[in-house]
Amino acid sequence: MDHYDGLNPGIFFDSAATAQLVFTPDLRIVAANKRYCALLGRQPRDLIGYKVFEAFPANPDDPEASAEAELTASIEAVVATGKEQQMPLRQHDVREADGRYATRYWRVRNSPIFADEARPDKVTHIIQTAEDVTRNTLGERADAARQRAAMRGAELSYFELDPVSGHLIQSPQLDALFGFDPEDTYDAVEPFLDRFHPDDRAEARAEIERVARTIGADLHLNSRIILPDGTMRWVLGRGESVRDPDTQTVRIVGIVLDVTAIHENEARLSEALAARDLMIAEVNHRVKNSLQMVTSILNLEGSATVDPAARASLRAATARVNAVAAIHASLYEDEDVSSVWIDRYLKRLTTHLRLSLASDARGLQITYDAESIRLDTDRAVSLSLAVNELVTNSFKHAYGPEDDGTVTITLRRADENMILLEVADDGTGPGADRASSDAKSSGLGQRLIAGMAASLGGTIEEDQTNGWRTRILFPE
Amino acid sequence: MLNFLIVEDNFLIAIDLEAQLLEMGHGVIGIATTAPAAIAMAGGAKPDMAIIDLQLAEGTRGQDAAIALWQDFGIPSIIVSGSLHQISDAEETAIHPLAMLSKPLLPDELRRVIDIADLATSPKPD
Repeated sequence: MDHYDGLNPGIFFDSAATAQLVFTPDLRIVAANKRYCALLGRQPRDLIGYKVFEAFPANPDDPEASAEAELTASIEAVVATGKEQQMPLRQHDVREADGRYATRYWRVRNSPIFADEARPDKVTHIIQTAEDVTRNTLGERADAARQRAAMRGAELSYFELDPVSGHLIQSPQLDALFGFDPEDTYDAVEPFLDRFHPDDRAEARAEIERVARTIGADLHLNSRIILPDGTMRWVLGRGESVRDPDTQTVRIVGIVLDVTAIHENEARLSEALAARDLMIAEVNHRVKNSLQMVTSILNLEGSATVDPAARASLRAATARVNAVAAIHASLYEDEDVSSVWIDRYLKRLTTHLRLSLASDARGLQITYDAESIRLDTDRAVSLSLAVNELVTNSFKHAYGPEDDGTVTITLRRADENMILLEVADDGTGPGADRASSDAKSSGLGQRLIAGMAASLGGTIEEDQTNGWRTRILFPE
Repeated sequence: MLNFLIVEDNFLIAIDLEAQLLEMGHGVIGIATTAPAAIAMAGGAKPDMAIIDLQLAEGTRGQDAAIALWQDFGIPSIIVSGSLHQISDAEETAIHPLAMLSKPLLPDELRRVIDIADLATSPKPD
């Protein structure tokens, strides 16, 4: 007690950071600290000696104002028990100096004062601590109002589910979505779960249980529901579990959307894609069959022809058709039908050339060395025909009947977006000097090479040292 | 010399295959254009091998003919088709094909697989 000798204890009261008001059990005010006067906009003289509700009359425009009864009940409890009482958060508007009322929300505690030394158990006064929570409360209310407005605006099927009791609070849109008459709305989740497709119901229950187990877990439902008229709808449920701050129980809060249209579009899209794939496969089949028919016709013509020169011409024609056809075998290997991997394709073409030129029987090799380059289909066909002619020419002219040798096909990137195709042989046979023989014997072949090089936008270069070497340089 | 059954509904392709086989010195017991016809002909004439297309006349499938030929008569097939991807893995196992060739056939491609199959099925003593 010594420490504040000489100090007026009232100085502590006035220095407190909370607003405090002291009154008698019959609500007559005896003291108000500085913070209280500042908070309420009053002077001590406006308060002391007055009853609480004389100083702070209820707002006549607020018909639900019942602060007086609540305060009286709280004070009676303090007097009866001698214990502090917390009053529920409530609105009590305060009349300003100009006579208007301002909306105020209060959190109020009433604590007993025992000032009668003769009767230490008797509550002589009550000290009330008042906290103005108007800003918080109005903020929360504004948020809730915004949420309600958003829900109405978005026509959302909103729900709040107590996963333990199955109690459900839902917006009318949810009833409508599940085909319930607004008249007989249910406040339980079961009738809603009953409308889930039998194959999806167990999964929906499991998902609700999973989300209920972990506060804050996200709900993901993508299920079918069956309406009373038998139609099926797809619904998407999104939400999360929260702990109710008042009751401490778990709630799952979320929305449900009708996504039937999206599902139907997806189904239509995948049907269309499947139909497209089928059509491509069918066209591919027909192209290959047609090419087979063309080579069959040429084969049959060849078999029926006695003249060796005519037979050779038909064989050359078959080889040319095959050079084009081999491209089709390379097509449709992947999604892109507008271009082919020219290296993979050259492998196939090499096989075709070995077979059609009977290279093994003649002791000749065909090798290829190609970089991985993708070329559009039209240019690949041109390249294919050019390679066919060049290799055929080497076989025809560079080697004698008993000669061994190798024809090399090279495809690689050259400078500045150019591609270089080279077909080289190491032949020194009777027709190795082709300048004279070609003009006569392979007029069509030479024209094809020139034509294909032109269609590639390329230039041709020929070199006759150590066999015959033809280079076609064309832009990528 | 081997005897072949050709199962192909496109007449031009069928007679080309026939000409190629005859040129190789083989025989052809007939041309079938549907799977049931192929099975009936194979059951009657018992060819050594069959050359079978997949998409046959009257909506019938070469796979069905090839499976029946192998499982019922032990006749192996060479599949020649423009859509080899239509054969499922299970079907391929059941058909046990000697070869699966993509149309259009390369020159001498057929001869090669027949020669290889001929060597494998009837190895010659030293």
